[in-house]
Amino acid sequence: MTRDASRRFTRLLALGTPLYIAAALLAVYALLILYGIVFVHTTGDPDEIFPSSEDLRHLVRVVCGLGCLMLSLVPHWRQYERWSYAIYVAALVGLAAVLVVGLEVRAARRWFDLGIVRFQVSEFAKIALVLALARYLKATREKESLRTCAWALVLTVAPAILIAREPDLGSSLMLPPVFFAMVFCAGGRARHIVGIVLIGLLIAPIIFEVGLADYQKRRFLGFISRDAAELDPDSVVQIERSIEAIGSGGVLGKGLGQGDQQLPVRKSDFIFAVVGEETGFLGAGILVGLCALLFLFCLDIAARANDLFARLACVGLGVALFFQAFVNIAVAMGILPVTGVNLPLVSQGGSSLLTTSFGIGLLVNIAIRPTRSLARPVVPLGDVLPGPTGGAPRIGR
Amino acid sequence: MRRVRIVAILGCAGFLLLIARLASLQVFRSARLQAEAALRDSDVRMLPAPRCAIKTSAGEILAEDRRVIDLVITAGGLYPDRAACILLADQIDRVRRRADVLGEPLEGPLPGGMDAQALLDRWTRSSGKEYVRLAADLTTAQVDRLRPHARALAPPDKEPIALFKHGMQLPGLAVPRELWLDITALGVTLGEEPLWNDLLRGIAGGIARLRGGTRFLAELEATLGGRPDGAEFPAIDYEARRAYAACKEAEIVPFILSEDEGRRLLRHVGLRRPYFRGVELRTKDDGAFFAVRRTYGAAFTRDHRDVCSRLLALVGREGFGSSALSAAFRRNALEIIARMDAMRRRADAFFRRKFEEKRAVRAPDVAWELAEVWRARYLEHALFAREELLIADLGTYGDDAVRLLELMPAGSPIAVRSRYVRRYAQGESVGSLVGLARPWELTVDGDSPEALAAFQEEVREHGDFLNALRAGPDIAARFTERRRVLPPLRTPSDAAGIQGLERDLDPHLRGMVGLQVAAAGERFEIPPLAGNDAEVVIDLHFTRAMYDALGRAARGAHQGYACRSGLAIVMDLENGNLLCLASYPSFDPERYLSGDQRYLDRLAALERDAPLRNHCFFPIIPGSVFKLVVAAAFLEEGGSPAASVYCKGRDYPEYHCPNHGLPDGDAAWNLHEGIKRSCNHYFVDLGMRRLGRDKLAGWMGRFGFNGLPEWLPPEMSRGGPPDYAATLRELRYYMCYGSGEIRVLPLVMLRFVAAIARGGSAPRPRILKDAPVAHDALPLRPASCAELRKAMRAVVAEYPGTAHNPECGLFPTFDAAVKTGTAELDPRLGTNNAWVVGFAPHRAPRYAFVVCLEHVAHGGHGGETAGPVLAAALEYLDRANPALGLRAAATR
Repeated sequence: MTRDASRRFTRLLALGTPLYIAAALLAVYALLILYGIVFVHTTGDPDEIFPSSEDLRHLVRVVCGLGCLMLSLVPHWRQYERWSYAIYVAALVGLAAVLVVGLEVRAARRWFDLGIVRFQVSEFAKIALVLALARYLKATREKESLRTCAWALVLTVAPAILIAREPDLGSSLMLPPVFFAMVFCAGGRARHIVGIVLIGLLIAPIIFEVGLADYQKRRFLGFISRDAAELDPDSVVQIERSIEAIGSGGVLGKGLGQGDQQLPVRKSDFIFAVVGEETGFLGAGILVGLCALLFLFCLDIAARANDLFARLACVGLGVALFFQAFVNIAVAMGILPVTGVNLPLVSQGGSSLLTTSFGIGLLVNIAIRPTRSLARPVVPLGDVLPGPTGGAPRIGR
Repeated sequence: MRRVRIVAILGCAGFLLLIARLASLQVFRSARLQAEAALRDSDVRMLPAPRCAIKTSAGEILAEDRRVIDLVITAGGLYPDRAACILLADQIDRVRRRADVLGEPLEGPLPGGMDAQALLDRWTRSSGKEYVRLAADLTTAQVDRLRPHARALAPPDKEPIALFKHGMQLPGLAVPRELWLDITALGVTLGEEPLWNDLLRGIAGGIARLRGGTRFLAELEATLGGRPDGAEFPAIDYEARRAYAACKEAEIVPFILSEDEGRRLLRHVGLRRPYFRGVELRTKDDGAFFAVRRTYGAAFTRDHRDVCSRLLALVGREGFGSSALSAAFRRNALEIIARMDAMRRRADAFFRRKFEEKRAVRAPDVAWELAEVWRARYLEHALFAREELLIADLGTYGDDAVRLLELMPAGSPIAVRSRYVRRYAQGESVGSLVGLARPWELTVDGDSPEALAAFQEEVREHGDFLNALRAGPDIAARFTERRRVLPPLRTPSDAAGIQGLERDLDPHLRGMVGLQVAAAGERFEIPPLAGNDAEVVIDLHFTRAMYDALGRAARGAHQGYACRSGLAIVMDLENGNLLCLASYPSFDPERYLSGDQRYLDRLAALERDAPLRNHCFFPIIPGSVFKLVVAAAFLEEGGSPAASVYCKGRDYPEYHCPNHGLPDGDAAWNLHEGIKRSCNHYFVDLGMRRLGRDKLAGWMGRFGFNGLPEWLPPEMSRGGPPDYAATLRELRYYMCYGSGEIRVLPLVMLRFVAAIARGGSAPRPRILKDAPVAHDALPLRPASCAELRKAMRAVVAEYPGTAHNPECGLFPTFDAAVKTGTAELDPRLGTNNAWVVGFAPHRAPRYAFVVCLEHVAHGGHGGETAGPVLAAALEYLDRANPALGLRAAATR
């Protein structure tokens, strides 16, 4: 890319003043939330009028999410930088604890039962990882060295393994892209990243053989080959139905509430199929566009941030959001095998909504707060100390 | 900065990919996917194709398809979610067990906030009873005195008067005692207004006589329209009652549940929308009340059971009791109920086991529960997808069936299906000729792995084809296109010929299946295509007469010479039409297919005589009729008919000569005498000394006696004798008079005789009217034919011809020329094959015939046993066509 072109691109990204960016980000956030409210309702019982019990529960989650967003704005983002390792350790402890005392639902331990709500720690771990990586990458001196890269990888792999043990492979696979993007943006060497990717590909068969449950293997094989599809008719049928639902929506859709009631997991993993079916290319396209905007705003905030921690945190959050949305939509359209990742802010699901809202709050926090140290202003020594002669301070000596 | 931009570009590329895919799905492939989605749950069925008839030229039907209407219990149109229904049923059961209103009597504590009225409404709905409030605020004594009056009017064992005393159970709710009349308990049905009015009148009279308090009377008067004499009662709201009845028809199962339980129930039900519907009913005071409506069309086994039970009750009540329908119905319904119960138990056990297994391995799946349901659905589909036959062939029940159809609840899983049944009206006489066709799936030989594999392969292919049809657009076009190419589509219930003409003409008779599509978006039917009728030239009455004649012969009607099997073929020499192809014993395809065990046992007893196959098409030991072949070969080799052979007129060491015992038994015989007397020694001399193995085998080949001749059409080709030119190593003396290894196809013999009759040119035998008329020239010179004809006539007309005997039935009655044959099968038992072949009338031959009786007992001779059968044939032909001159001049 030539310098000119890159400058133009920068201008394109730089949509306006930080406040405008924050406002636009919040607007996109609000629209996605609105999508969520509408489609959580239409996927429910069509006989029930709007605030059905299900809708109310979702609305409560939305309000909680907004609360999280507000809450995240209270401390200056520098505070998060300071707390980031603590948060990370807390997340690891939480992930370990959930394996032991977590609530078991459908043979998977992913949730803490907090009485009224269930909390999925892996969602929280995502944010924690972003913060920890950002701090580590900022603090380290030799950003291009392999050692930095390796330590960052260790930071990433620890929660990923714990999440995979839950087992929740889909969520644990959300972490590596965050790592790659952050290390890359921090100035890591491209060849280290490529090397790690290659090693990852090399050991993938071993992970496939040892680490995956039977149903996961079958899903994967069923996706890559039609012959193996017999191994896992359920997931193949899920994808087929989802594609059919999306395709039958056409350009304008069938209308809200007119979708296929039999679509599996239509409230969470396949909510995009419902959007596609009921609002057509128009609605689904807008939804994809909104996700893209959210992602671009994240990177725009990153691009304007003067602090490396802030920038990396924005990149990490943006990539996490992007990757989750991309995987969910791609699964619904049959581009990727079924992984069980939900669509951020739209799908029904409390933990995801809360942590994503928190992340959005963090982005707004970074966008609207100037880069400054939380420490007392650094005053040049010469300004304060009296000179050896005791006379007037001498500046610029 | 730059790196952030790279990340941004990568991300944008990802989103562009998504948008592109979205556009491809929703803009470009939308129509196809829409069609697929619409057809996902569609019911695409092949309609069985009718098979065409086999007729005679005279129009008698030998075999035809009859359309039969069956009543079946379907597995439901939409197959998904049946397993879900089973799971749901358990859940509902669980809820119901806890909270079913019938198990939770009114005396129990009421859910808070409900008054007696709501409770009554609920009771009314849940108990299926319908009450009319007659009066309120009665004393118990009043009610007790009122009761007998109402009871006297009501049918026995009914309790029409109900007294609710809510006030006593519900302190705080000061509801007065009320008098309610249960309409349903009275057995009053819609439309029976007079009865209803009488009833009210009677009760009103009773109440009036009670002389209760004024308030009670006033209220009663208000209820009854102010006319205690019952002159004008308030009109009954029939519409409302019909609606109520309809509601009951839809099987609303009410529940009294707490709000939370109710919501949970509705949620469960909501998941399985197509079959169950959760209903929230509200009482007047806004109390919630939940119900599940089981919608029909549901393919839930318990529905089958319910429907069966209900129909059973219905049939019993509607007085079908005496008819055959009732019996059939009762039997089938009970059987289905039992089977469904067993299946359900099995399925339950299976699901439970699966569930436990799954839980044991802790399979971690996000959509675990759903997957379980889906898997169960596949399994359940396999278990229950079959349609259950409720009543076969409704047509036989006449009006009863119509009434039953009218009584069936709308939208029930009972469906009417049509199929075709092959009918064979002509009984045994042509059974082995016509053969039989039966549903293709039943024709598959389970013992032969290849046949089974082929069948399964074809079924699978058709299943794939149906699935492919279901999956794409333009079903009709693709189906029509497929119907045009081979191999033909057929359903497993389509008839396939397995025997006789039915098998040989199968491709000709077979129709093409149709298609029925009942999908959300599309609903159409492509009718099946019929095949072509086949017309045969045989004379049905003639064949039947000959079959009877063979039967008589078999039973020993002719001098007690019984035989085991026999055949009679008569050909019209003008065109080769086979007028008669009688084969005894035969079978009745209709009774065979009906599965009548006694009949099948009888056939099994005849097994060694092969009643299922037509003997006309199989090779038989010819005996002396083979001498005609030897003689013709001798003449064609240039031998002189005058050449004589000295016969000693007694038994030779190796063989017996029929001249033995005749007054002029020892003399030198020429060809004429040899044939007339059927002199074995003469033909042994001809064959062994003058012809030899090579020449005889060569001529046999030229006359068509070696192997299965290629001119026989497939419907007559069953199996032939060996090719003697290739297989016969040495000519033995006994072969010269047609014994030993020599076998002859009756049809080939017939053609040979026809060639002799017509001077060398024989018409080709044909059964089908469509087959071309053809004449084959056999290598026979007219002079040889004339010589042979003269000799054959002498067999009948001259002493001591083998058929010159009144017992043969031919002399002196018929102007026929024949050659008799007696092939010894087992000299110790004295069983023979008895033959008569020939033609008539002998000067201008019109008919050629072959009659053969196999395994004639007690040494029965050809002329004496087969002769009378032939005489019967000639008798029939003469009656049918007196002008032909089949009778000898002396007897005309």
